[in-house]
Amino acid sequence: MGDHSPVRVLGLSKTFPGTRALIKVSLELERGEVHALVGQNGSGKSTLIKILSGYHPPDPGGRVWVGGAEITADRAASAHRLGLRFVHQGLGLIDELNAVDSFGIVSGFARTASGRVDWNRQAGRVRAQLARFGIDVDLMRPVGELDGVERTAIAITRALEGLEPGSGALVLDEPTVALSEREVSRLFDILREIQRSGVSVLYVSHYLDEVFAIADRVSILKGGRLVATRDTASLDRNELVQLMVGREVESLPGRRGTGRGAEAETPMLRVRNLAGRQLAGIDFDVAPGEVLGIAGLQGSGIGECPYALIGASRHPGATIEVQGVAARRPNPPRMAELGVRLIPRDRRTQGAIGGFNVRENMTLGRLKSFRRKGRIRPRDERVFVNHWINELELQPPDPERHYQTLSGGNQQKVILGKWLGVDPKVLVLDEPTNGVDIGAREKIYNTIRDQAARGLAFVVCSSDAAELAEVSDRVLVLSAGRIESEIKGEQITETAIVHEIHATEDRPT
Amino acid sequence: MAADSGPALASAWKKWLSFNNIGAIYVWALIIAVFWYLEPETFGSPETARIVLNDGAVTGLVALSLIVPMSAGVFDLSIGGTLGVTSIVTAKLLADTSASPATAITVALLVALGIGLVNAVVVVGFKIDSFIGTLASSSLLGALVLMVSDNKSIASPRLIGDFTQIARTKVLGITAPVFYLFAVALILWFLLEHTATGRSLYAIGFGRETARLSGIKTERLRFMALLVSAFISGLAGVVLTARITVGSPTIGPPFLLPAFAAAFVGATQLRGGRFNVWGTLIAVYLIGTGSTGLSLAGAPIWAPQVFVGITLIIAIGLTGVKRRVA
Repeated sequence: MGDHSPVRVLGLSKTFPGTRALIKVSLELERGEVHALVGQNGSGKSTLIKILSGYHPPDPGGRVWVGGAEITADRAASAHRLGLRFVHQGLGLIDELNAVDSFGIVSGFARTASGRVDWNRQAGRVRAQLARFGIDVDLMRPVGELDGVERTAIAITRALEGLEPGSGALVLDEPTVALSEREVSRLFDILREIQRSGVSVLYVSHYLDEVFAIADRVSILKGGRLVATRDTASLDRNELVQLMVGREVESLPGRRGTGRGAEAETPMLRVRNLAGRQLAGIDFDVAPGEVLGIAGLQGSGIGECPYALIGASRHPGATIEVQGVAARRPNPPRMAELGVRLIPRDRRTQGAIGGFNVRENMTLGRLKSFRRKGRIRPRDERVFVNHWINELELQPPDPERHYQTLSGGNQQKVILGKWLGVDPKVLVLDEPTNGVDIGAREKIYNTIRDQAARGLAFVVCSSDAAELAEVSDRVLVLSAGRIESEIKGEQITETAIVHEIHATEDRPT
Repeated sequence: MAADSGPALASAWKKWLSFNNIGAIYVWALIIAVFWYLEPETFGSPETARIVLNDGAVTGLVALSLIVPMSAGVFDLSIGGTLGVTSIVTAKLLADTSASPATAITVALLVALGIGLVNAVVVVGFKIDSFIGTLASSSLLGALVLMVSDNKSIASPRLIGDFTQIARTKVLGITAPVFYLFAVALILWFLLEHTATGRSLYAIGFGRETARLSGIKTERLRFMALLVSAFISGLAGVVLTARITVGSPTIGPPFLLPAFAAAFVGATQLRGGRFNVWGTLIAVYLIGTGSTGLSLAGAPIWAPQVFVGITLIIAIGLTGVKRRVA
């Protein structure tokens, strides 16, 4: 092996129906380096990792070498044997099993001559593995009861099992999302041990401070292309953010100057002390016709925010007012009554009914309005549904079409139609263009603008900074459950949002 | 619709008549043809048709009792037990008290609603999975039957008197339970396919979280669904008692599996994956025809159960294939 780089990627592309997720990416890891991989959501990071792990086959023409041997699509499993190992974001541990079992289920158990598991030898084996990187955990406790860094350490050590000394590469996908600041520094100590043992690390993270703290080099992806690979020593934050965002469209057409109506009469939505597991009680107002964007990294509370706004969070204490009418203990039926509706990020389980057709899905929010003498009339439903099919340019324009056979963009349009059709006052959108093709995306943005112009208030929670820059009148950036900063009017640019999102060093503790 | 042109109408018909949509009817026809050919004397007589129709009525009611909760994704495994309890309660009241048939029937149906209420409180109130919760109540109902009956059949002249007329009255050789069955079927069909409640029940069954976030009162409907299944299976218990004129402690549980089989086979018919009334009735009579034909043809006593099992696997298997393709 010797001179070969642990992982080398040449001209890797990946095309999905409607999008090119990765375009001719080339990358090479050096022995024993920590190499960070950064990029905004949708930049192609996960696609790259999924190709390396053999989950997606790449487009023909792309090549991957591990330890000098080329990996072809039909031999993806050999990548593991050659020393390419993965720890994905969820760690892949089973909470109820202890460390000894967690290793055993992956790499097998030590046995006695009679075939019984030799628990002493097995435990010794696991202890020795962990000790290599200076890790000491209670081997008998279920991993679910261990702290975040211990669990991460177990997952990493398990992944590295069986590597020849001084070889191999580890891909770490967002390992610090669930860790506190103190735990992150413990993890970094472990990573330095790993690095010292000759293993290279490909480190995927959204936290730019961590990139500067742990990585020797950084590669930046944008829109599926590799923008640059740089030494972290010769790079500063601003340059890195600029590389992630790229050349930005200066002023977007249709932007309505400064955040409109922020000081208007009564706010459409008035939120006080919105709390949750991560949200630490935030306050904000949304004016009629305003599009409020909410940005933040995973763990900042952005995931909870949309649910808390419709009263689906279990944490009490929030006061939500719609046009001056307060919901004392907000719950989904009450918030629906007040006109606050959610388009959730998970269309399949929360947004729509997969077994229903377009008509049945679109009318689900206002079924009772189609009742005449106790009976629902499909003909009346169709009049309503056809209106929104035309308005939103649904393809194909067929109300009886099975929902599941629609493309992601058209599925999202159905849900949009469902809620626009109930004349809401506030529409909360959570990752509104997740899995939505470019054409449908434009249509959705235009619809948001049109409806806002008619007085509807929007709250758009998104991890896509470009999206927020395109539709928002005002952007709140969350960090550690609080509003870290507010960006208004002309200042709303993709760069500004990315900067603010990644600026924070606060973490949940 | 007036706007439908000829070819569109023809293709709609073609789709409706496809094997995927009404395969059970074709299988049913095939079974009739086979037994007719094998046993032209006995199976081919109008009397056999009447027997199949009349015998299927109680099974049909029990199967229909499942449709409402199953549409909402709620299992009710206690329907056999409920049938057993109402049967024994009716017989006991008529045999040991001077209650009129009307009183006995009313009390039995109220008991059924009470059982439904307990199920609903357990499943919806205590948030216990419906499969487990109704399995538990099914065991309790078995105990109740033994308690009331002392594990003995209850017979009495009063069970043979006026009371039995509710099951034995005939029009053109078709007994009253068949009319009850079709009355219940019409009501449930209207409820499920023409009301907001029905649409909401299906929405809950396919996606409870989406339904909840859409503002549907999911828990209230799930609660109601368990009252409906208990009431209809209770009705089946009363009708069955009048039909056989005896209260038997072992009568309920054997209805459970055929009812589920019919409901599941029914869901593969007509409405592409939704539990529905007419599909269920087709399945009940498909299974009834097969069983009757087998016994007339002198097949061994275990043959009808083999038939039910195989029908269920084939029906579900075929629709499974259909879904993967679509």
